[in-house]
Amino acid sequence: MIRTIIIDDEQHCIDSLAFDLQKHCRDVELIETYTNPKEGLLAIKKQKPDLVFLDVQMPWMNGFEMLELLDRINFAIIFTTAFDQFAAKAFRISAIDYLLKPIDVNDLKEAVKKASEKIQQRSGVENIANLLQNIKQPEGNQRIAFPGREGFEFVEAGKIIYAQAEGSYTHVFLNDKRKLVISKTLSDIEEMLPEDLFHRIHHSTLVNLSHVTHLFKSDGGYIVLENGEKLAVSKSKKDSLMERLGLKKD
Amino acid sequence: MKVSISTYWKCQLIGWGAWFLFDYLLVRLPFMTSLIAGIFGLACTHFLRYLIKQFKIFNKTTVIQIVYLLLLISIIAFLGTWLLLWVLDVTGILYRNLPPKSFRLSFWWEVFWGYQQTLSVGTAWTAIYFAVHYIRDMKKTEREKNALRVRLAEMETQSLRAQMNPQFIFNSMNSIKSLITKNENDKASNYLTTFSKLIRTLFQNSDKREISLFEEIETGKLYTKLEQMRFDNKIDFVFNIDGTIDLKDIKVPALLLQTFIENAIWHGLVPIENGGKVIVSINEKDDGVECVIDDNGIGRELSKQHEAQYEATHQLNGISLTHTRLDLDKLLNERENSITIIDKKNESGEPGGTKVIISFKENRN
Repeated sequence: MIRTIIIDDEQHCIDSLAFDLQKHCRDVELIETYTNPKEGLLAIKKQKPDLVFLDVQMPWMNGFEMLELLDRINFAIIFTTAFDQFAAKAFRISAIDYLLKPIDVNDLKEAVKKASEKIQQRSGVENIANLLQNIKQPEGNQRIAFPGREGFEFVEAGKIIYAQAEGSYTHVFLNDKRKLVISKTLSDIEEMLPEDLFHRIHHSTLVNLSHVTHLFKSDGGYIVLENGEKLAVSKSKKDSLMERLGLKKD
Repeated sequence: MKVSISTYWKCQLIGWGAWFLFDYLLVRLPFMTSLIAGIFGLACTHFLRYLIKQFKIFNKTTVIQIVYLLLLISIIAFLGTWLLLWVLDVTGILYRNLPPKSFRLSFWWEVFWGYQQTLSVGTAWTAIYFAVHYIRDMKKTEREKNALRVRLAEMETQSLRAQMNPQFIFNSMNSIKSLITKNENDKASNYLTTFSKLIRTLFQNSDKREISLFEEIETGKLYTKLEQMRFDNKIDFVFNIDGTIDLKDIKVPALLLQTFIENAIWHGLVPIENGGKVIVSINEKDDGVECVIDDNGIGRELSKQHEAQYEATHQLNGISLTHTRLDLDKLLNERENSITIIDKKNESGEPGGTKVIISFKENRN
């Protein structure tokens, strides 16, 4: 049984989540629920649950601040939020499970299944630590959790030079000359990276603009990166690229 | 290199060029006389323009403008005529083509006749100069007003989004879901109906810049009713409305009151364990209406401290948006709106809630 605590400042959110858990997730044992994050914090220390459902927005102390007050996070967490795009992006790039309220039962089952795997493997702790760092950073310094064969690799967004689509995989080139091969599409990667830093210059190339040194209009247009590499710019993306670089079309 | 010539200089050169051609070809004055007269005209009017700018006549009131201009024109026209004729006289151009011993006016008579002519030319020139200036000015103001309108429209869509707060919508949905799972059918149905009413009003008003104060209050009431249900009556609301005011006759920028009611609830009252109270009052004041949203929550200072930093930076700030909207509205409609926010203190001097006063000074036609 997965010993579980729910923390949410609105009682009706707790009620409906508890109802769904009882009905659809038989391996979850709900020990306690709290509308006050301070009480929830004490309960976590005392009861040592396996899983905590944690609301992001709460008065006095939000979910992230509450976690910061713990010395050790040795339980799985599923965040819940009604609508918070900033938090949602932070969850996505840190590869952390979250549920949108009102909660869909299938999403709930999926999240609980993943959580129980994490509990058995005792994994996922780094991801939470990374998330708590990320929410305090400007987007360029946030670290993206890229899934690899053994766990995750955390990479600072600013250190990515460019990414290139390779079928259903994406090659990510870093400024320390390493290349990561990730089993996600380029569009998936694009969604995780900060918009104001990266630009799609080709349907198969996403580039970090701060690493671009030259733009040439000859030969159909290409850019040169700090490391001397050249990347082709497609015709349809040229105008938007010039605009991003602050060069007006004449 | 292309030399760009300002409109002023284009007009001056074309105008005085035409003047010279007119004198020379049609009036058949001697070439030099026409040329020198044209150049003099150009120089004198340019000097006049210089003085107009120097004295900043454009910024003065109409009466002072006229007095100044009459003075300037008469002085410059006189000096100009005198100087022109003196030059022509000294160089001998003036009388060169006349047969000797023919009838000559004395020099000062020449100046007097010339003065009449230059005076009317000067006046005409000034009139044209001012007309052009004012037309350009009007166009510029119109452009600026249009730019403001576009900005206002943008603010309105933003404000709409802020009001149709997604968080609020999803939380309401969730409240309904929880009532259903608990089999509290009456409450669920009541909640759902009120929620639909509110959404309907929001949709209806979404394309309007202004709605009546009556509608705004109705929306506010629906909103507060929902929040009250959601927080299990932890929050208390009172609407004190002066019955003698014709609320339907007063137009306010759409979606105004609710931003403040929402702030009072979420930043003032929700953090308090036992909840609190919001009093919304509408009263006649001076030649307008005053809306007061008064809560006994934790106050702005404390609320700011307790809100996570990322929320402050990453979420839309409804109040500043409303401020800007009111300011723009003021500029466009030349109305006197104002928002005052008072941080209340209790007897022991600690922060004890927030009071927002919005006043509309409006001429009801």
